[in-house]
Amino acid sequence: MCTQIKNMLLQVNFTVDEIRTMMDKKKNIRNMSVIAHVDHGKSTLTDSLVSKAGIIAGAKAGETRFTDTRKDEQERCITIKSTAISMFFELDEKDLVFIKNPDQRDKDEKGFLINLIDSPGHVDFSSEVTAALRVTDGALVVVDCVSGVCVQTETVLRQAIAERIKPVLFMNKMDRALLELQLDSEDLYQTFQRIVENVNVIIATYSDDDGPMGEVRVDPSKGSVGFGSGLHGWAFTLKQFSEMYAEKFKIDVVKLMNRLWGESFFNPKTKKWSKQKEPDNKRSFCMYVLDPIYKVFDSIMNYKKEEADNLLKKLGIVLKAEDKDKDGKALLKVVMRTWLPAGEALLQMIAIHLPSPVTAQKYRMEMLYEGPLDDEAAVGIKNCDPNGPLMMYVSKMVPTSDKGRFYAFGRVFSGKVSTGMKARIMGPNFQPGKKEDLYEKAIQRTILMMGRYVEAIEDVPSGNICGLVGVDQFLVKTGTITTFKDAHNMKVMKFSVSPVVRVAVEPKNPADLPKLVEGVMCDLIVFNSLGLKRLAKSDPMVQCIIEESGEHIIAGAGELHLEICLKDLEEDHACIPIKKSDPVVSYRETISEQSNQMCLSKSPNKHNRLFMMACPMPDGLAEDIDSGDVNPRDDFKVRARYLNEKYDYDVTEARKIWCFGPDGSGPNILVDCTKGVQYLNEIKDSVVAGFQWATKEGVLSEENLRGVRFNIHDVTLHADAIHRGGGQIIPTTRRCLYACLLTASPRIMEPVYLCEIQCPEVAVGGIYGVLNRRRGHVFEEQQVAGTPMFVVKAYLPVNESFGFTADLRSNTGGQAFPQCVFDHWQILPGDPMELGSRPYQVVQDTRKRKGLKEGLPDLNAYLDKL
Amino acid sequence: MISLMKTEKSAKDKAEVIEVTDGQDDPYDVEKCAHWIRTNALKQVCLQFPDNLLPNSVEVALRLEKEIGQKVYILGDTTCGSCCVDEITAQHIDADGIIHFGHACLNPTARLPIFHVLLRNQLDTTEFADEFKRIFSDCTKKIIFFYDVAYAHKIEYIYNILKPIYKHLILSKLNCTSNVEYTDIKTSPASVVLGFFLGEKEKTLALLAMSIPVKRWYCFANRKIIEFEALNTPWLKRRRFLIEKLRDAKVVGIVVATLGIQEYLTAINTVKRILKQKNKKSYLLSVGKINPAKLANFAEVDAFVVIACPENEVFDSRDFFKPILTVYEVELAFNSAREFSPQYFMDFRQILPGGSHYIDFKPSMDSDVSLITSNIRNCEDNTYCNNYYIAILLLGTVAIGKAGAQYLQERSWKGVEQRLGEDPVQPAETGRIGLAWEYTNENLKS
Repeated sequence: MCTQIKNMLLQVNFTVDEIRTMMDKKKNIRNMSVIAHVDHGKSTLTDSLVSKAGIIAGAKAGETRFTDTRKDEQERCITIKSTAISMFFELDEKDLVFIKNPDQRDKDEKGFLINLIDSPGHVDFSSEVTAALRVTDGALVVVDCVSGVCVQTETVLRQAIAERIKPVLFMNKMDRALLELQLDSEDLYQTFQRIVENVNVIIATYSDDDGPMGEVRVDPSKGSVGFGSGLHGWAFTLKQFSEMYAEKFKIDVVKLMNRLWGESFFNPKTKKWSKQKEPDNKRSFCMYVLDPIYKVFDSIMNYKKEEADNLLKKLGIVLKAEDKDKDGKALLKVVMRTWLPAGEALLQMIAIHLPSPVTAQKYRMEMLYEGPLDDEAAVGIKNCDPNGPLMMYVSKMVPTSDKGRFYAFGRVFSGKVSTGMKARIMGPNFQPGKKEDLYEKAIQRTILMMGRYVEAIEDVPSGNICGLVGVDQFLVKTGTITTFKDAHNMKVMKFSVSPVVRVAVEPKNPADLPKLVEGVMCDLIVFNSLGLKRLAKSDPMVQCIIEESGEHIIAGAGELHLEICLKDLEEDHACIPIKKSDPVVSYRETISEQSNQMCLSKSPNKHNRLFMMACPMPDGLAEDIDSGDVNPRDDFKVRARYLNEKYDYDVTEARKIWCFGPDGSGPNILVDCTKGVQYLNEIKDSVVAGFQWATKEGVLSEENLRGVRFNIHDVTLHADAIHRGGGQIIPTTRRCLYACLLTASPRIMEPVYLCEIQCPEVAVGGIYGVLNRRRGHVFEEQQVAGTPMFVVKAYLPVNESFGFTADLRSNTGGQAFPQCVFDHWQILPGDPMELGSRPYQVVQDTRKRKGLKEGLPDLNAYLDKL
Repeated sequence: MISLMKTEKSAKDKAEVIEVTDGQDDPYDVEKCAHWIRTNALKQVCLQFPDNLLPNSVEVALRLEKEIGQKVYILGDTTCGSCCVDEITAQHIDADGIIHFGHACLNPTARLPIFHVLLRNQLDTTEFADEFKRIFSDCTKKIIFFYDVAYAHKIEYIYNILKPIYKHLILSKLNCTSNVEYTDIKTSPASVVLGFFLGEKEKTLALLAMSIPVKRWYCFANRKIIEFEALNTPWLKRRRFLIEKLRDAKVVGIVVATLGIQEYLTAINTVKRILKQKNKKSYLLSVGKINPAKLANFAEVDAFVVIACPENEVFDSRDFFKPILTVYEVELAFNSAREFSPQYFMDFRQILPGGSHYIDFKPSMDSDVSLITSNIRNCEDNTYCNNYYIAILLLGTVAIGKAGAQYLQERSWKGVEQRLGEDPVQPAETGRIGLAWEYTNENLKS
């Protein structure tokens, strides 16, 4: 396959050398991602662009899905991994005038280098979108004009805006609107209008026009909205039509574009424009844009040969000899594609409306860099300076054909990365001045990545996207590569989904003892050390961990995500048959009341006494800690003020938060409420260690704690330091915290999905039935304006979501499509200490899985009496 | 608390195991003990009792003293588990022989002659033989037969019943050089199909079952023969997690919890060498009897390797702050030459040079990903250094980058701080009075 494409590449109108030359003209670069809801036609549309750049033969565009490089992607017709391609393309002189910002174009360069990343639309793969957005500056938002703005459209658009990615909009699947729905032109206009409005509402919610990005909203009359059909390979913006009519009307193209959209009507009899609908006039968009398209469709699809020929002549479309015999849909495709080639319109939109790295990095720098905003690295990024220090962000790892090795894929924001150069490779845990997660190594090779095919390249300057060979040994998923010794990390990406669905995996034959004994011994070790670790690298979101119980857990964003991960593990990474458990949901332990007594625990030598109590955190605080709004690195005074204002915490106490846990940052806190305790500062580290231990492994079933505040009320310590060392304090702290939990009505929390389901009205009833059976509850139901579709929003416990999609489909005749995203944690009703209750069962199951003693923990083991 | 009670006195080079025939009433075999002392001409003899037999110790000692006419000493509260012979304590009185009572792991010792008096569990041999024949109906199968030390007194009798029926029965015998080298017949384990253990499903069986690979294990519990799952146990699975923890560790504590088992010094050196090659800092600790409080004092240590008797229960406890690992697990974690096998060697002598499962150490040098923290774990010595660290050094902080020192740096309280003028001045107050257990002016009841 690769050689085939390579050959094609050599024949086409650009070469690697040409691209390398273009890379230096940073103003003429556009880094962009294609984002959309699942099945809105991203990959198909991308093909149109690729065909324009010459990689796919024009006729095949729309059928190949060039960017779906994996076999399963091609089979399922769904994008799983995001894929990058670089394209070179020249803009006509007449179009160049539309680019007015001097940062958007080199004065005498007509060519543009477009680095495009096609990303998956399914919510389970949102992490791929996040990774794609990080390395691009602009986004082509594709919306199916029949189904309108969907859940995932909103999610990805929101993410894009948050990362300061400028969007342009494309209304896809116009062929369906015309052929299947047979909408009349005014209705179609209204549909378009509504989608544009919806998109702009989302944009306006997350940014405003006075922000650093300038005007972000999309506007058809400015040409930042495209229309067309990716499948048929045609597209246009108002600019194309304006150009056609400009001469006839003797109006400037830009002015005409304004008239072709919105409340603008033309009376063909009086030749007068008007702002209102009057009996004789017609909406200009319908008249000048939609009517001609309708006519072409009508004449060809209804086999009006003569009329069609006339039209073609009028529109100046000359068909190739071999296309002349076609009719019906085939002919329609050829005609539309010749008349309004999709690649042309899209590329113009991209070149004119999306920012160059020079423009974008100016306002993106502060969002990208963790360090001081005036150090060399920051300035380099801000100016997109190829002569500055190297700053490159690796956003994901792409598997190579060499098993177990990866290309590090990312964007050069400053400086130049070249083959053989020595650079600092910094992982996400790197902190300036420390050695952790820092390696100084030579870059083995820099490469250009194009869909299924990679090409070595000597060096890559700032503003470009590329791959690196050899870096995969030092980075797990992401990282920063720099030559500046005082550089801080580039900010880590924030994902919109969390890995809440987990399965335990095992090789199929561990119990098959004889087989193992007789020499087929490598299974487990290969499985342990390589397979999971490779998988952990290859996906930005998946977590491969070994639990305290010794089970190998793979955690993903959803069922589909896991399915793909397991398949990869089995076929590509571990290469052995794998047994997977039923999905395992991880729970959290919490409390519902304040401890009913002051809990005392004595140290093993009985000479030290801790007095503590636990109380639940107020609603919202745990979430604030999750999101980092309240975090251990805050200045304690600022944090105390925030906690006081928002949660009514006592300021003095809030200033004495000793730590967060588990892992030093989790949603539980330890507060020092003591007064004048001697030697307290000396045991702080030991108490903190005990707290981290207890919050990591809760008392009920050794699950993490969530939303618990522990107060230390009093401490008695032995006067001699040797008798109050870590050995006395750490286990005692844990015992005391456990006693606090057990006396505070412990509860179990489960993860809950926000589930959005799109379906026709008739299916709504079926949805309610399925949700009720699965402890879900609907909190919003709404008709999508202008369509017969309904959107139902519901909360659904993750534990109940397995097989939900299939269940839903069978109950609605396949008409309902759910998208589930983790939303929050919720207390599982019932008392886990009460025999036979649901949480009790959960606790017992978890204990059993972890090999803990069955039954309930005994308060007397933790609480000391006098 | 070491209790040495003076009572009375007899030598041979090797430990002896008493195997008594049916019908003897004295569970302590005082006569045999006396005979052993006399034949070996021992002068200072210690009697070691497990905690549950201590109440009877005085009576036994007195009887023995009477029998041999010399003082004997009682050892209680043994340092490293009551199954092991406590030679170190015995050296307090310059003992020249130890009689060990109760369950024993029979690990070979280095210094003194040992005489074991084992427990004697009752067993209806006919009933057992019938049950055995019922479960193992195929007489041609290769079965390897083990028994708990508590059944040693019956074993000859049982063998005599079973031997004529089962052609391929491999019989084991208690052996004081190793309880895992099961027979004198060196059968390749692969050819053995079934394993049988006469005794309850306890630690001894679990250890045997993990180290001897046969198709299926059976044991005799509650007068029934049941199948025993040795692999895939929650315990074994949890070990995988602990091994991963060890791989992540920067500082490892080597805890010496035996001073009796042969070759423990070789084991310590092997572990030390491996950790050094893997660029991990190691400390050698000896804390006597191990408990969570003692080990938690070493908060900077990320994992402990305990060199102990395989039957030691620290490997089962979940109360320890940091993971506790065996010597074999150190090998599993770091020796890339060791291929995975379902066998698990709790007895470190098997994997030391000269042991039956010794493999030359070959460190893996590839970088890999931790399955716990999901971070890169690069074992290669990263001698990266720049002005930064030197600068910090000049400011007075010592040796940055070494794991232990880094831990100290991260502590909020480092020990010697003067805090001059940082704390508000407060008038002196009356301190606490009384015992630390409960100070007299401390009102705990409120």
